[in-house]
Amino acid sequence: MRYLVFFISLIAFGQIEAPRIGFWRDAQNRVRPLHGVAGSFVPGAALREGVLAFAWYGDGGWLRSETEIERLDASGATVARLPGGAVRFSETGVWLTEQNVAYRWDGESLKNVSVEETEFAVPEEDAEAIAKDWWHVRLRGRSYAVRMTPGREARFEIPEAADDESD
Amino acid sequence: MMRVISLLLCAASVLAAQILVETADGFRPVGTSYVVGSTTSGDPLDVRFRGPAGANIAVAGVGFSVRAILPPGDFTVRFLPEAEGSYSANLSVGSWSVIVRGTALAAATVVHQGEPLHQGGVIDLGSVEVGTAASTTVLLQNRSSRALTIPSITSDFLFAEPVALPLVVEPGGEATLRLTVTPEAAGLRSGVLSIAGRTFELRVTGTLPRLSEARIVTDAATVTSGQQVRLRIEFAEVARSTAAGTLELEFSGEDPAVRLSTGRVASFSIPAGSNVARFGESDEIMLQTGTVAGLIRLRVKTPGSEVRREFQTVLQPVAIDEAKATREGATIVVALSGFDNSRGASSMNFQFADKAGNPLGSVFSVTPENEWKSYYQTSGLGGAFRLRAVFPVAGNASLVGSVTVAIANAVGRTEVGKLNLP
Repeated sequence: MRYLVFFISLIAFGQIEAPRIGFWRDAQNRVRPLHGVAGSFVPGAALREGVLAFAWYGDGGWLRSETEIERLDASGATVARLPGGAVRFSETGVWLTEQNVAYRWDGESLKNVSVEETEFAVPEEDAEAIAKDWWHVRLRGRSYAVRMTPGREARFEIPEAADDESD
Repeated sequence: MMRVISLLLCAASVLAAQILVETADGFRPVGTSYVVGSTTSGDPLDVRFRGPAGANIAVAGVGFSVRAILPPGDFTVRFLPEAEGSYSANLSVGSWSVIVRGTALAAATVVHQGEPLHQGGVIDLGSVEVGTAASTTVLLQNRSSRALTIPSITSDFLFAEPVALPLVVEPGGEATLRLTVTPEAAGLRSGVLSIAGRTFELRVTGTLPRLSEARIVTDAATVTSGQQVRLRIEFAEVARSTAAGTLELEFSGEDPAVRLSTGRVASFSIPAGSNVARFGESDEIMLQTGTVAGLIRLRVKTPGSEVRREFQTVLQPVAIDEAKATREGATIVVALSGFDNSRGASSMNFQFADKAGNPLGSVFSVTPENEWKSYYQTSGLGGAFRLRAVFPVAGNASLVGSVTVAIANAVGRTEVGKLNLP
């Protein structure tokens, strides 16, 4: 083992950046970034409006609007579309519950797959993924970020966004 | 021509020496007597006269008075009879005098708080808290020698007791009207009381309820950076009526994460009978203490009072929220996210080990001052950060089993611990 040599020049150390938990859908159906670290959140400016369902898993996600369902890549760009309707999401899967049809994103396209309901289980009713191991739930008019990291489970409140404080 | 001008000047001097009275057609001379007209007892009747400028003005007689003297030479005589009947008085203006006469018609004398009111007078019910009732009593006195019949009485405020109409008031007698009103909003509310066509202005002022002293209660024994604290606002006594206030937050530093659930201001209500502020559907509100050390000032503002409480978040060692080491080809990447509430230049130590836990080389220390400084100048996110440290590996990187990380600021050192490589 001793023959390993480490070149200590931290060639990419300049990558200090503002932390972001993920993305979430607020009470006005707007998708926003959730900046900060656990318990010190700063909701960012709205990126999309009219979003009826949303899930973000860190390197991609899903979005349902009035008319369609979109698969989002890591940058948030839409890479595939399906007709709208009642839906549930998993990290790579989408289940159109009314038709009982599921699709899986394989990195290039959506493939029809059999429905495995357990894949689409959520920790609380109406919970939506904010990031890997993070979920968003609404309770008595307030939004919460629920951390499900094993051993670090916790619930935090998400404060209202600065541009939403007069609502 | 000169004769005409002289005659006009002579006529003008005669007019100037007379007493004139204002009519709808302008001022005209009065003779040795003048009838000012009639009014209901208790209601004034003002008549404007004009006499020589600077002359002494006096009126002698019951029911008449000089109301105002208005230059040049104008003055007002008020006829204010207390009871039904005919009245006269001697009005003297310099060397001139006129008998003025007036007639008073029978009417109830409206008395509020011991003072007779004339038409248009104000009946002020005072100031009361919103949601509570104000009330007052108005007397209708008959100061004449015959019975008075009042055919109609209406009010924009409520009658606390029903009024039977027509209302007959015997000579020397009086009737009582009890008025009540409950203002539903802060500020002046006015209305009209009409008694047989004579109107009086009703007023009441609603005030926001004053509350007993407030207290800000937290669920945390100590408040530090990176926390979400629950706050309650409790009052020493229950609110007598529904009240409202605001909770306002100020922070000595720059950190958008220092906020309440609703931002830097939260509105609350206190239901009648409760001593706890309600924030929407909850008795609590969240205070996020943020990622920069500083003074958090909270102000509870309620009508007529303000209560403050301060929380000082002190400098502390770097807090790490997430830490992960991954192998990406021939490099090892250590990712840390957390916050440094001093926003200083943190130094880091990395100690690599093989899969058996044997150290690989010495501890690598780095303090990238410029990177930290540049980041905090531009991040706009308080003391929160996410960093990636990338280590190129010469040799077989898969043999590296773990890296132990520590990070330190001016306050102290934080052991992130051993991060195993998958």
